[in-house]
This record gives sequence, structure tokens and C-alpha cells, in this order.
Amino acid sequence: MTLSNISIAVKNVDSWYGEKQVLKNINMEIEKKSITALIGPSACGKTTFLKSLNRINDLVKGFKISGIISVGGQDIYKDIKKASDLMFLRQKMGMVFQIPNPFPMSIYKNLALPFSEKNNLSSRKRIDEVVVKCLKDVHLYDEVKERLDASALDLSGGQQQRLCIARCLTITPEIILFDEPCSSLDPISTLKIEDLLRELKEQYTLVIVTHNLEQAKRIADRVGFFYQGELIEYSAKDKFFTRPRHELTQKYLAGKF
Amino acid sequence: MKSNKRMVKDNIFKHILLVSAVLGGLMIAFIFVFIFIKAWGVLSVSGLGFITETGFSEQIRDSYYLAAGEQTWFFGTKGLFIATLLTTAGALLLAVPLGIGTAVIVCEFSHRAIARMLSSVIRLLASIPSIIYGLIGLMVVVPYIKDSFISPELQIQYLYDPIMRMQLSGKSLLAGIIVLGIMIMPILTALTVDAIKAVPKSYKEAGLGLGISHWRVVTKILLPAAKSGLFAGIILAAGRGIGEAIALSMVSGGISNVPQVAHGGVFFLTPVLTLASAIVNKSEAMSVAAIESALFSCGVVLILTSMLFSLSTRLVERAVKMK
Amino acid sequence: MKDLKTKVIVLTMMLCFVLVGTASAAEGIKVNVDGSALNMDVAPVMQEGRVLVPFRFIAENLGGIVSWDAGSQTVKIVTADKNVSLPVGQTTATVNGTAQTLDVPATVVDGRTLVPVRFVAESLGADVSWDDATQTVNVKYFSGITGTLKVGGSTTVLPVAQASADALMKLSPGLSVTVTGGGSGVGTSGAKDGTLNIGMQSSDLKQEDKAAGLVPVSVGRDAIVVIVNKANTVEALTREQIKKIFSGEIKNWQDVGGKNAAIVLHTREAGSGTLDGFNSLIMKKEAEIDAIAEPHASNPLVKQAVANDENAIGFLSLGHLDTSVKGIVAEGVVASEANAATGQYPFVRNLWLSTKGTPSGQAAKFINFVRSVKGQQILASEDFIPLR
Repeated sequence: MTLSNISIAVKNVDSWYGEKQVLKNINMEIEKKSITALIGPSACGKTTFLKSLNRINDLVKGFKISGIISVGGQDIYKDIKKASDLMFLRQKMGMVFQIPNPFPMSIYKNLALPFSEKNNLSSRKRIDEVVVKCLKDVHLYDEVKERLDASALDLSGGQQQRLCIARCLTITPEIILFDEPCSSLDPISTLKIEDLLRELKEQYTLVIVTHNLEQAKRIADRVGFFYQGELIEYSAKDKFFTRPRHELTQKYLAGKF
Repeated sequence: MKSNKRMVKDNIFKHILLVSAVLGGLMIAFIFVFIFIKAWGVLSVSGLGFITETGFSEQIRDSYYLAAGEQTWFFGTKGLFIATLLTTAGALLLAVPLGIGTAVIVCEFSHRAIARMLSSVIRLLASIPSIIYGLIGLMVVVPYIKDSFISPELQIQYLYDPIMRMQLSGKSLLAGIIVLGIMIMPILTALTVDAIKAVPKSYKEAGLGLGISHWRVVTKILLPAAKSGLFAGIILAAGRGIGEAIALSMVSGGISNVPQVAHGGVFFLTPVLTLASAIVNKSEAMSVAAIESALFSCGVVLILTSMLFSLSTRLVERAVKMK
Repeated sequence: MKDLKTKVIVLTMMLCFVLVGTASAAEGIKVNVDGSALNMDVAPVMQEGRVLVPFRFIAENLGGIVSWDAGSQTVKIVTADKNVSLPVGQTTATVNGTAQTLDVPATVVDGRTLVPVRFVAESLGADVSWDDATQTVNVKYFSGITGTLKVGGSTTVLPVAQASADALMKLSPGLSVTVTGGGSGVGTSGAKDGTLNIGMQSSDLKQEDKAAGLVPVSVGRDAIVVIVNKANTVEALTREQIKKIFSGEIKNWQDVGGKNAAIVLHTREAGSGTLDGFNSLIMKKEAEIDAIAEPHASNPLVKQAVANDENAIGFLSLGHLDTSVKGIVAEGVVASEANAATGQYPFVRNLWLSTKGTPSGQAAKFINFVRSVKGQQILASEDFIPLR
């Protein structure tokens, strides 16, 4: 990984919820325009880590963090003081959640809202273009083009998740964070999302937390294994799955947890 | 055997529930019928005039002082009806933004300890009986209005006003609106807090995750998502406003005037009487049959108004939801 | 001479001992009227087997108005149906004009006139019994009444009559009293034609009504005081001025000697007895109160409104007047209970209960109850001036 190729650099990160330490000395570099999968058993810290990257963890009471997470050369904890800078950071990093969470409004508005908020735009024509483009990017447009004014909550789970991804695309982020995006979806919807992720990595840096080893195998470029708050192993996919170095990783891959 | 026993038990329970439901329904029906029978004497004579004609205060006086047999059974509550709508609408205009604003601050923009304190203060305020608000209105709001808006010259001028003479004493539509607004604000705030808290956290996360500012997340995502809760709060607050008697009778002036648009700002300084207040204020004269019937007629109009209101808001709510 | 002197002194001393001896024998004697103990400042005394009590206490609790004629040394007790004269020291008394004989005469002890409780109570129509075990005299007058009674008329008197009826029915569960309004006229015509047992009036009966046999008994008085803000420079008004102010004819304080400012009228809601009083004593059907006047539900609310507005004018029952507002000198007379009692103050009217013929039976008892200590407390609590 060359320096210009690094999207997110993490150095010596520790974090706590209250007194409980949840991340221990994490060091990691995430490559641009690739898929980085974070795996590990439940409560291993992978989701906490993901949510630290766009500081959405700030919402959690008692959350503390130390170390450096730099995105585009900016230390997102020390350099960002103003709310507007935090907004700017989050606009660079879309996030897709475990349970699809489209806003309780129309499909159209779900996409129009973040776009017009970011660009301070109200030109209907420009918004229309972006909505159609983003829906097409996630292959949802043909399924919903007749009912853009229908409530997004009426879509199926898989459609909702793709809508959430499309919603991220409207703000043209550099990075998209996925928190187990397929865990609540059926296999067919899951495959559709995975195909989509492979396409998206041409343009975006993707970080995905997943429970599903097979999924990581199918889509990831690099894989990180978290265990009890530590990053046990982090390497390219092939190396990770064929020649894991650490004993814990081997046990995990063998399903011995 | 066992399942048989249980079925019998279930059946008994079902029947008890049925009987109590029927009893409840009968009780409500009885109340309606009772009020309507009592009101019929005046309603049959007044007809639609009961809400399209004015002069309620004078009609009460005349009914009370005329000998039995000479009393009029015609009453016109246009002023009361309009005052009821105006005070409630005005109070909502005042309380809805304030209440929602406070709720947003409590839920989203204050430190936990402060939010908890504010929350309990609001719930306390919501439970204060209306007569206390009436007293505060009488001691603070009415004198304030008098000192700020009513000059001695204006007072003299309106004693001779060609459209409608009146005494400007500070007790007024405006005082009613302010007191009622302050009174329903805590209810609205408490219900809005509940509505906002009921919105799934994931909406907020999603909004913030998209780089939308906290304020915009609240106004663009959380509040629209809490819409039906907000509506419920507004309907409840409006219901309390329409039915409020004591506080309004203490501060609104007690005369069945119809505020005149031609008076400009003095429109709001007009002493008024609402339907619910009229029932309280005039109850001393209820020994006269015509007045008793007139007050029950006010009750009928009051019931119909609140029913109409909750019905129309439900329609509006449905329309909003469709969107 | 010396002998005689000694004899007189000894005799006087002996007499004193006897008197003190007989009087102190009555320690611990109680008097109950309709089940509740009579609290007297002078304890009852026993003389020759008769219990004597201060005449005021027993008479007033049975609805009697008492007076003391110093010239003839006579105690006089008047109720709705009885008229009792009791000369001190004599065994002959007069009850409704008939002479009657007592075992023990009314006596003055320590400057207080004591009367035999049994004779007085029975003369007034009560039942008296003696409970030797508890040393108690039980007087029964307002309890145990049965039958029905229809009372109606003046809405001013109505609340007093209603509250009295409630209290009386509590003492006598077998009695049913219905109280209705309709105005003094209704009370008069109802009492005349027999549809009412008792008519209530807040205005004096006409001569023709008295001629038709109606007997009015006064139960209290209603006095109205016109009030203004303490900062108002106007001190006195005539009835004519007050009438013109309240009818809206006079709209500015400068027209009655005040400053140039609007007069803000405060009145009462229809149904108020005070408003009735104001109308009948001041407006007198010559004019009506201006419809723009602000109506209030109670005396304190009028007072509060006037106390807080320099330009306000209102009216109260006299009992409510205090220093938070200024009572207007009416027709040159200061509004006070004393001036109301002497009749100098103009805005006073009597409240009457009237019956066809001299009241008797339950009607008499009802009227006497309203005139009793308890009834007069009720009357005072409704802001009227009691008889005593």
C-alpha cells in the first residue's frame, strides 16, 4: 500500500464505553477504492471501530477514544472541533446500517433530502437527475420508477437497503461504511447487494463489517479479524483465508468459536 | 374436561367485558340524550340562530329578570362560538411552536441532567389545575396587557365606539389566548417529547451519518417522523382549549362580544366569553328554566365542536399520512 | 340600735351564704339543644330543682330575638310564633299575651339575668327533658320535625334558605324542604295562594299584601356598598350619580369630580343576590346596568378587579368591604355596618320570610331556624348582615 493509496489511517486507537475498554491499540490502513471487510465474533469491537470512523459513536453516552484516525490526512478527532467540519467529514463518508433505515417518507424524498441538504439546492431538475442516477447505480430504478412518491417503508428489506445505499451515493462520498448490511436480508437480496458492492468499489472506498465469512470471501480485498477489542490479523483476502498467521484466526476460520 | 372448564371461564370473561362495554356505551348515550333533552327547549326555538345570532349576555340577563312566561327561549351564541374558536386557535398558534421547540431542546439539545429536570418540570406544569393558570393570568397577564396596549384615551374612545362599545380592561381575547396557550404548552411539550422519543434512533443515525446537521436532522427527519404523535398532541391540546372554562372565565372578560376586524389591533383587546366559560359563569342563574336550557345548549355546541374538530383533524392527519 | 345593726349584718351574711350555696350546687350541669351542647360564658345554676341559664343563650339558639327592658326589669323574647315576657323576680310571665306562672322567677346573678331553661324553652315550643344521670337538660326544637315544606321566592334569600333547609333537614331527617327561586314577587304570590308555605322576599311587602294576611318576619339585612380604587379622588356619590354611572350615561370620572378617565364598570353575573340588591336599591328599574360592564362571579373578584384598576367602579355586599378598596360615601352617609344598622345608610334592604297568617308548625320552626344562632351564621356566610 503506497501512501497515496491510503484512505483511512488508524494509529494506536483505544476506546471505551464508560470504564469498559472496547478497542485496544488498533493500527490499520484502509486502501482507496477497495473493499475492506471486518470480521470477528459478536462484541469483538468491529462495529465500534466502524462507527468510530465517521464519529457516529459520539452519540453514545460515555464513549471515549484515544489515538489517531486520519481521513485524507486529517485527524478526525483532534482536528475536527466545529460541528460543520464534522458534517463535512460525514459527507465524505456515507454509512449503511445493519437494519435498513430509510426515512419514513417517499422514495424520492429519501434521496432528495440528503442531496439538497448537502448542496443547498432546491432546483427540482437537478435533484431529479441525481435521484434517478443514484437509483440506477443501485439497480433499484426499474423496480420503483413508477412509484417514486410511494413511502420508502413499503419497499422490501432488500430494496430498502439498496435505497439506503443510493441515499449515500447522493452525497458523493469518498468512503462508504457498511455495518452488516445484509444481516437482515434474504439470500437473493444479499447477492444483489454484494454485486452492487463490487461495482461500487470502482469509485468508492468501502469498509464492511460482516458476520458472514463467505461474504467476506466473496467480496473483500482485504480482511481484518477483530477479537476482544484487538485487531488480531489484517491482510489481503487470499492470504487471510489460505494462510492465516495467527492461531486465533485459524480457530475462527475453522469455526471453533 | 380441563379445556371445557377453561372455555366456560373464557366465556364468562367475554360476557363480563361485553356487559361493561354495553354499560359504558349506554352511559355515554344517556349523557348525550340527557344533555340534548335539557337543551331542546332553547335549541328548538333558536334553531341555527343559536350559533349565527349574537346577544347571549343580554338574553341571559333578560331571561333572568323577566317574570316566568315572559322569558325568551331564543339565545344567540355566535360571539361565544367565535371566541371559543379564536382562543383555541390563537393558543395553538402560540403553544405549538413553543411546545415543539421546547420538546426538541429537551430531547436533542440539552445535557441529560438538564433534560431530565426540564422533563419533570414540564410534566408538573401539565398537571397544574387550570384555576392556577387563571390566577396567574389575572395577576400577571391581564395587568400586563392593560399597561402595554390600553391607553386612557383608547379606553375612553371605545366607550363611544360606533361599531361596538366596550370596556377595555385588559381582560380580553388576547389574555385568553395567552393564558390558554401557556396552559396547553406543557401538555403539548410532554406529548411531543414522547413522540420524538418514539422515533427510531436509526433515523437520527442515518441523518447524521449523511452529514446533515443536527438541527436539520431534527426538523427534516425526526419531527416529520413524529408527525402522528404531534398531531395527537395538538388534538388533545386543542380539546383542552375548547373545553377550558375556569381559566378563561377569569381572564377573558365574560361578555359575549364578537371581536370586530374593523377595530384593527383592538380586535384582540375585545372582552369575550367562550362556550365553556359561559356554562360556568352563568350557572348561578340556572334556576331559570330557559337559562338552564341555554347553558345545556352551549354544552351541545361544545360537544359538537370538539367532535367536529377531532374528526377533521383525523381527516387532515390521514391526508398528511397519504403524502 | 346596735342589736338591729348586728341582726341586719348577720341576716345579710346568711342570705349571701344561702345564695352562694344554692348557686354553687349547679356545678357540672349541661344544656343540650338538639343534640349539641350549649356553650355559655356563665354556667347554668340549679335553684329549687330548676336549672337556670343566661336567657340570651337559650333564646337565641331557638331563634329568639331578645331584649331587656330596664324600666320594667323584664326580659323579652320574640320568635316567629312566640312572644315571651319574663319580669325578673316575679313568678308570672306572659306568653303570646297569656299570663303564666313559674315555679322559679328569672333572677339576676352577678349582673347576669338567668331564666329557668324549661319554662323558656317550653314557652317557645320546645320539648325539654332532664337526664339525671348526666345532669343534662335536653332541649329538642329543631330535631324530630316531620312533614314537607315549600319555600320559594327571592333569589337573594334563596342561598340562605337552601343552606338553612339543608342544615335543618340534617337535624330532622323526617322533614323535606324544597327551596325554589323565581323572585320576591313569586314568593309573595305563592305564599298568598298557598302554593308556598313560606315566601322569600328581598323587598318590603306592599300594604295590600299585608292586608291579604301575609306576615313578614325579618331574617337579616342586605347592604350594598359602591367601591372605587383607592387612588380615585372621588369620595362621595349620590344614588342618581351611581345610577347614571352604571347605566353608562356618565362615562368619565371628570363628570363626577374625578380626573379625565374612562369609568370602567364591574358588575356581577345574573343570579347574584348582591346584583339583585344593587338593582333594587340603586337602579330601581329606572335604568339598566350597561351591557358592557364586566361581570364577575363573586364579591372578592369584583374587589380584586377594582383594587387593580384606578378607573374601576363596582359594588359589594357591605360585609366584603375592606381597605383594599374605597367605599363610596352614599347620599352623604359613610358605608358602615353601624350606619346600616341605624338605617341612615341608604342602600340597605330587609330580607323577609313571610307566611299567610302568623307562622306556625314547621314553617315557624324553619323561620326560627334561620333566625337562630346557626341560621344567622349561614346568613352571614352568604354576605348578609345578621339580625344580631
